[in-house]
Amino acid sequence: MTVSCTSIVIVDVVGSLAMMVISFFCLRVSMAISRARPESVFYSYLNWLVAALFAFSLSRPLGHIVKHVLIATGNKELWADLSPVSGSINTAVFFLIAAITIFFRKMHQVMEQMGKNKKKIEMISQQLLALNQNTEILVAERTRSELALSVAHEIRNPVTIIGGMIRRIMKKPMSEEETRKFLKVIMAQVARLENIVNKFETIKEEPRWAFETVDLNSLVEAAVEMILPEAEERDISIDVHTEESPLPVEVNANLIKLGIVHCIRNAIEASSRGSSMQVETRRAKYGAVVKIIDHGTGMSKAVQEKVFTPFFGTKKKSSGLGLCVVKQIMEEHGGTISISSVEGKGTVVEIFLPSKIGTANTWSTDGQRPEGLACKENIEKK
Amino acid sequence: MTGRIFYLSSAFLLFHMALPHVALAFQEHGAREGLYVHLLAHICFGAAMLWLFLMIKNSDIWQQRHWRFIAWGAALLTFWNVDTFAGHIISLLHPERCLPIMHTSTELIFWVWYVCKLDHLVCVTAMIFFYLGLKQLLTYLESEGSPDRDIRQEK
Repeated sequence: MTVSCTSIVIVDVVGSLAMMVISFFCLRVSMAISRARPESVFYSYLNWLVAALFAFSLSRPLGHIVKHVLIATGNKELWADLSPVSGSINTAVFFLIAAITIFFRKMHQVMEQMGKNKKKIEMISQQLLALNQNTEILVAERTRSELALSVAHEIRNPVTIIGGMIRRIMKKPMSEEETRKFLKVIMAQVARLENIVNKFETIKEEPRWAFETVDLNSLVEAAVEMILPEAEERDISIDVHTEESPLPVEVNANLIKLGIVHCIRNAIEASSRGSSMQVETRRAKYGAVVKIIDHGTGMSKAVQEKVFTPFFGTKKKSSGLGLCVVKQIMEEHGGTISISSVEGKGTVVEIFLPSKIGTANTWSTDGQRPEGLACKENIEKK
Repeated sequence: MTGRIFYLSSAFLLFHMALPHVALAFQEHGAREGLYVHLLAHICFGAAMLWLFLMIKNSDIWQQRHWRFIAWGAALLTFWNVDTFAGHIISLLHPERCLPIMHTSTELIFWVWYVCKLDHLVCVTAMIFFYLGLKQLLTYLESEGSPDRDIRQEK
């Protein structure tokens, strides 16, 4: 049987070119993986492994092509000089790949351990949250008991004196002077009771020292101003539509601003370069609403369900605490935060804040959601 | 005593310098050594790829399709190393075969050598597998919020 060695040459040349092209794409994808998870040691390692394979796919085929070209052009002697160099590079690259591959197991073990630790931290975090809730209940219970005891102790004496005095006045008729004397005593005890009531009012006010009534429009504008450089850097425009009249809300301005900034930052990170996003405010029953709309990647249902879970994150450099903390801040202000997203189309984040702390929360209690909350429809419309 | 040692040493060095001699320092290496090192590199490369394949195969990540692609890419590179290793050995033993001409043969060794020379069919396929695996891994990472928390059963 007769064969032509030309087929070997053709496979060699075409294969060499294919190797270079495919390995280039491999490296590109691997770098994208590394960029997608910069915190992951394992994916960085994978990038190194692919880079070594790229070096192999470049050095060897390049040597082969140069060989074919030089021999075809009659430069056999030149190839004889270059051949050892090419061969040595190949040999070194082979050893390099072998050396890098050895660490695969270790790197995988590190990744597995990190996964386990993450789960452990999540569990501890949930336990801490539960403990915190229990502690809050205990503290509230203790405060109620102390308050009841204190009220009973402080009020018992004046009330007993007032009751006794009135009973005596009612029992037998007295002279005007005697009645006046009794009434003076009663007035003194009433004044004592008033003092006690004033004291309780002061106590009630004390925890609210950090809260102030501010215009939510100004807060949102300040938050947007703060985040604007990040948006400009990614060529994303932020359209701000605020309610015409002021939206007074009783909040800790710094905390709420931070929460809004965090949500806007999430929206920026989810948006593609050159796109736009909207930030709106409007009046709601008993409060005001901030709406942050982006037309980015959106979230799957699974992600939406976990988005407020501590340590859950989809971002590259995030502890995953962000939205969990934002939710906590909003709830501490008697407000709420809700997220609605359509995968591939975008996300709407809505924050409701009551105008007065302690005001009935219309959002969650009476089920009357402020109009315009059909988030998915909003996204699809845009 | 010290002076005597000095004079004797100096006399020996002068005598040695006067003689013609081969300059023995680091060891010289011939083409054969280069070839052996290259073959050794093939063994290491092949073994590393086989090890990578087995590591993935015996791990949880084998459940994920992208890792299976990468593992099969590694397996093909193992095969490629065996192929090229055999090709090098045959070329070493039968250098006359390495001629790009029409050839008629009924010898088994020729056909083994001929198939070995078509090694790009194997390594290009291996790189395609690597590419598919990496591409799917990227898609997976982009679609999942936190890939490390749940390993999808994609069997």
